[in-house]
Amino acid sequence: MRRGQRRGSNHPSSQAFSLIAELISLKLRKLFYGTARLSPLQPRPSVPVQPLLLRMMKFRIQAGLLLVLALTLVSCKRESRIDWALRNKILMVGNGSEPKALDPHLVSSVGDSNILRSLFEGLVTFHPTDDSKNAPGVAERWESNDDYTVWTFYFREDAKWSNGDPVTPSDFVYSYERILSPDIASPYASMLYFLKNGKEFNEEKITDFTQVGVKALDGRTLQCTLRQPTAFFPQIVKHTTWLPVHPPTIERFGQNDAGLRPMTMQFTLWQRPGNHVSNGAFQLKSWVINKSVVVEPNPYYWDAKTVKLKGIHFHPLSNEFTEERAYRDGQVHYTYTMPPNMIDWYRRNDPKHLRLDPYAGVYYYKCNLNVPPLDNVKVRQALAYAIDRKKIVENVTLGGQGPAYALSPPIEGLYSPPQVVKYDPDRARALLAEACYPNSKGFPRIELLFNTQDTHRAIAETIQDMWKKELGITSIGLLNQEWKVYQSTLHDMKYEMARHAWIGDYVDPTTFLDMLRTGDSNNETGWGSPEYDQLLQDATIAPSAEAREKILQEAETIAMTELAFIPIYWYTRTTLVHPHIKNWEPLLLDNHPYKHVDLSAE
Amino acid sequence: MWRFIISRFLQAFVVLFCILTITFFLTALAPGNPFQEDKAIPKHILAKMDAYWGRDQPLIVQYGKQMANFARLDFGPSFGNKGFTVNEVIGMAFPVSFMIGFAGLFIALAIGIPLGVLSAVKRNTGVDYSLMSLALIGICLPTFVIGPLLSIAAIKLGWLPALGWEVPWLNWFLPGLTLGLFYGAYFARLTRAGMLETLSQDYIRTARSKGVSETRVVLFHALKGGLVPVVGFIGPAVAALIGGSFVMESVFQLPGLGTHFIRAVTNRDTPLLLGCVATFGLLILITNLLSDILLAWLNPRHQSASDS
Repeated sequence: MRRGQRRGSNHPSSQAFSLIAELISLKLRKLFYGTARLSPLQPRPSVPVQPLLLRMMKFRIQAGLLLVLALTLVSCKRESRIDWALRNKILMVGNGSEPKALDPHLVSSVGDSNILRSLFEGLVTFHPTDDSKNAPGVAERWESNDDYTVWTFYFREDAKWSNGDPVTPSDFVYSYERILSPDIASPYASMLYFLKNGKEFNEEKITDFTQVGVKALDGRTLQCTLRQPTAFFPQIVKHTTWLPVHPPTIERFGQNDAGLRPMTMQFTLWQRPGNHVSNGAFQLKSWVINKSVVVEPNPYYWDAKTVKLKGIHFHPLSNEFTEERAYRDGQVHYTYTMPPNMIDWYRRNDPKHLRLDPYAGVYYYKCNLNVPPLDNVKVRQALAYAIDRKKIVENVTLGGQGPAYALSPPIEGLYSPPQVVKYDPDRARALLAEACYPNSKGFPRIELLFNTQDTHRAIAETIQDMWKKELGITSIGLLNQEWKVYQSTLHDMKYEMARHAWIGDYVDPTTFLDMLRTGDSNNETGWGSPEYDQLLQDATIAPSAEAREKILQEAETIAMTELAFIPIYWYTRTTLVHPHIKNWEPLLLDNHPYKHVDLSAE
Repeated sequence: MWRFIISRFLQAFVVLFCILTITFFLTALAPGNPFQEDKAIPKHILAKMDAYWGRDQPLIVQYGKQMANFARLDFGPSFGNKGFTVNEVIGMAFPVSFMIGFAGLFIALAIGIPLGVLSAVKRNTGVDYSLMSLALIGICLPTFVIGPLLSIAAIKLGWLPALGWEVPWLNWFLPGLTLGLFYGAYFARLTRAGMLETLSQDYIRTARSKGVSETRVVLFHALKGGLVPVVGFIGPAVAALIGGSFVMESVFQLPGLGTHFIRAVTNRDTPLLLGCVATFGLLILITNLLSDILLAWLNPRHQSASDS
């Protein structure tokens, strides 16, 4: 670019440009100097000034047009998304974070399960009003032998995949072999350890899958043989991990050059829209990362007449404040969660949108028993008794949570946990003195670990303060770590005391109590009690539901006396639910079967 | 000029290579496993996962593979968005960030330059002081304040969707405006400074003494020189604008690149992180190069300095 080139004032286009510039300059001059008056230095303008009348007329026309435009904008509000959704029967759901996969064998999070529940159907499925009840899924009926170790599922004739293929018992056998195969490295394969030899196969102790307790007896019958008596087995098979996959699709997209079995290939293209084959009420329509997963009705679904929605949009709204705004703007019917400090506002101003439902989950502090003084049961008890849980749920968590006096929350008609842990500061002080730390003298420094989040910090600070006030312990440090670092620290047992939470997988106290079995992968405290393990074992062969409840209460009493896990509160599901949503009953596991859900303005 | 462009290009690749290497080793040294989850995954499963995704190999082998992938412009599979390749993830997200970024840039220029010029022309008057105070407020108010405010206003008025990316031709406006207000404030201040400097130059006095109209002086003689600082800032600004912003994307729920950048770090998703770093690095290098070329054109002194 040469210097001389930047001036080209003889070119016709540049002449036109100067003319326009002169016109603009007139307007600008008015703006700058208040009038179109020219500075005395300047020669007369090259463009004549317009007659005053004409200019005024032009102004009137412009102003009129602007007014019309403004009125149109105000009057014709766009159709809100909620109305659009109502008209088209599209349910829009805030669903936490972006799904990890749309493959039932490779996920473990609640949000992922929500999507998969719409796409797939297990042997047994969720009941719309009570999730301790079971509804028939692919199996129209099921039965067990007398000691609940062999379960037989009878398939319905018209169960079909979304490509029209029939759903057969061998599809389920294939699916269970897939999830238990060590090579696919399913994060939650342990849910299938209920099957006889399931654990052994997953841990590569046996390699012959025919030894695992699942068998297709004929074209319509599936038989599961269990490791131990399990009366609530139909509850278990509702879980995401027990959902089937379509074998020909898995085989087709699992082809590889590495010589691996197609079924063990992780995250192949089968999960993409167009390739995805499922057997639930809905099928996959589209998936755009960080935007939405869209499902539409599966025309081959056996109960298609019950399905009322024409589609579901799952939005990964991971920021709760954004999600709340999305709700107010009518972009979602249902939020995954909500900011705790807005609960009170909604309670006072907009209660018909707010839902606080009991939720099968518990928030607790884990103690690492390899670290003194936490190896001393009296210290753990002292710490547990000095926590005023009522204060925490009323002032910190704010969502109507329940102060947890045990690990498993009460389950109506099934289990009431023993009331062992309570707020008793005097007893806490006495226990601490018995543990040779009278008035907390010489109490070693302990770091309380939590992942970086405001609520966890607020709870930790409150409890730190309670321990200081009631027990005089000043040597509790707070340590927050970023999510992945926190997980490593926790799972490698490099913590001293850590915040953790557990959401139940099925409606039974053992979904919580099994964690504390000796050596369970989620125990991670170093605590173990042969007596406790034995009681859980005994519970499986209890002669009646009452006897079983009693044994489990006995077991939980041991766990809550030993207190490797110090319970803090039981969860509630705090969400915003749009009044358009129908058939959305409070459920303990929050697993809503979407086929019953409807949208209506009434 | 060509020599300048080519040498800048080569420099860019060396810089990019270094950035990728540093990023790779920093993420490799960071604690935490990309596959670990809240519910403990049994050790034998975790080992299988590491093996499946090649994380069990020595670090230097992993590094070599990543670099070989990069040379082919294929970053391999993402650890966090499993089942998608990094190229697919970026391919989905980049157009969104690009659109929002350019909307923001144009709004910023449309607001910033006229206001800056006006301030410079009316320097040290009430107009100047009020405009520059506004600009200062604009710079001080971060996007995570302006964004939610605009979004809440949209909820109240109901003219535009408050967030989301369901109707992109309506959805681009609010995020674009948020970015535009923020960068526009910068542009206004930069334009004002540049204009003030240029207006005091000898050639402007010459032009005035020749009887050229004041508007012509401002728009034709001074503006080009006055925009030099703006153009210098546009390079990095464009990269920042179209590279996506985690805050904006989280406030307006946009499926853009910024979210992937942050998530890749928190998920320990090394391939995606390297992909984002490379994209962002390339963007910065290209936009800086373009703004250098533009500067050279606007201010020939700059060109001869970089040529020699």
